[in-house]
Amino acid sequence: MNHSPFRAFKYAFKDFWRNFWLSLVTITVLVLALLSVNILVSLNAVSIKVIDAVQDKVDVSVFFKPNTQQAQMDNFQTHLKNLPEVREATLVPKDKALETFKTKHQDDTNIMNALKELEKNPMVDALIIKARNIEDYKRIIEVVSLPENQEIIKFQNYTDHQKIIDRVDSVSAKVQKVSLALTVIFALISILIVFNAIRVTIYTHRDEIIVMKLVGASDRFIRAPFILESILFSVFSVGLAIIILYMALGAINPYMVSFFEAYDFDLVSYYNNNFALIFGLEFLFVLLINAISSGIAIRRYLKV
Amino acid sequence: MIKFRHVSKYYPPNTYAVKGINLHIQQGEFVSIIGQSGSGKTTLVKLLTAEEKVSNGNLILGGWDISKIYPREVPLLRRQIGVIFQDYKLLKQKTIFENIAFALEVCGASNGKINTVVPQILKVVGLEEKESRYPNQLSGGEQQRVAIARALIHRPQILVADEPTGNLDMANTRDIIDLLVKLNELGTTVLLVTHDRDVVNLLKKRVVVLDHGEVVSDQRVGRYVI
Repeated sequence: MNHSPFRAFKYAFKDFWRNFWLSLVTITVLVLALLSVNILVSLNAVSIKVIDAVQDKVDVSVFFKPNTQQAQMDNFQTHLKNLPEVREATLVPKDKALETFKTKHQDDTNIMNALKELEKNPMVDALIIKARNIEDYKRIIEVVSLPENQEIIKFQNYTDHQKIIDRVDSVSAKVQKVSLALTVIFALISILIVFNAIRVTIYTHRDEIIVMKLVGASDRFIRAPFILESILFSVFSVGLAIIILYMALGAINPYMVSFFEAYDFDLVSYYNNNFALIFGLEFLFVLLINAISSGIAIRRYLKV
Repeated sequence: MIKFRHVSKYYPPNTYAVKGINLHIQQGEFVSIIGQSGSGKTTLVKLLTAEEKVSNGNLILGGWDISKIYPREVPLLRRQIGVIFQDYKLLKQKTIFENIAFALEVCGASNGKINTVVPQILKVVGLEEKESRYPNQLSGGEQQRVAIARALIHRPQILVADEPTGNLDMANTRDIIDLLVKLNELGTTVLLVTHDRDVVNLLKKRVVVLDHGEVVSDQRVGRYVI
């Protein structure tokens, strides 16, 4: 019977506990690296939500000519809703538009008096269009601007919004690029930090590794417990990072929820919904780095 | 048992650690290898344990020409030779029992065999009461006895001792040498590398003298003559 796997686990556990402080320091370094990545993930989630919130404010409004029939407006609405780029297309009748206007300006006596002077409703029926993504407005505007649609359309407000749309699109793209670059940089820094931490751990065992070689242990026999110990480090560090992260989220989440009140966003839910993906990837990442670092660091001492 | 045939070890460009060594050690012999610092004594030990590779010549150990040994065979070789060192080379994070058991575990020995054999060997070296202690809780002499126990656990035909008493006082030195002599009487070939004059003169065994990497003297019943 091959006892090596069991013995490797036994050595790994024993070494972990007998060098507890060294293990603790290594895990601390790993936890800090993971938390820095999680901070970036959180910032990324928040920035995406902020961008979504800004984008949600952007829309294109189409105002119909006064003699436009309801059926024509309904057809136009249906046509736009069928476009893959359109998320929402809501008809606002002129009566409702007037009510909304009155409510908005009820404290402005000049406007209210002016309205009283007018005999009929100055508003027109409108269609409020929201795109799925900011870059989809271009296509929507193309469709709205088609000659056949000019029979029923009095005017659009997309020209006024064009600059805003372009700016939001540009900022959004830049934020995503910066976010990606920062993630890559943090990941590289984390890799170096983890690699060094594991190298230090192996370095403290160098005499032991040399003795094991002199006593007749094979490279695999020596290497296996260190690789397994790196798995232990990964498990503990990810577990600890999750605990610390959720404690921190518990503290800041009320402020986050309050800030994004209208948009139903909170970081705890974000992490809960993506738990397996985020922490699964982090575990694999840390495990891979640990195992590779152990393998590389131990190699030089196996040359005896 | 051990045959050095024109064995040389050199380091580029032109430094010879040992040069043209011809030596034949029979089974059951007790041989002291002596010489000044830098004469090549430790290099001989390293060649025997394949820590260093032979540059020229043949080194035959029990019929196995280890001058051409492959890296994957080195662990097998080291399990067949018992080696003890001046600095004991014990695993500091393991107990005495675990240090000795480790030498069996690398061969894949069962827990049952380990639990039977290790207490026996601890009794041979007089440390049966201290199996749960760590190396730093033992004296120098006791640590060296643990190292000897570990070296003997495979019942090797050859025991190589590289300055085993270098860090020990007179009393412990005597104990260790007595132990080595006892093992030799039981049939183990012992190669003792030392520069302890008193030990060599007390033993009245074969003495090989090295100087600048070459054998300059080989006496059946020798004395420390440097």
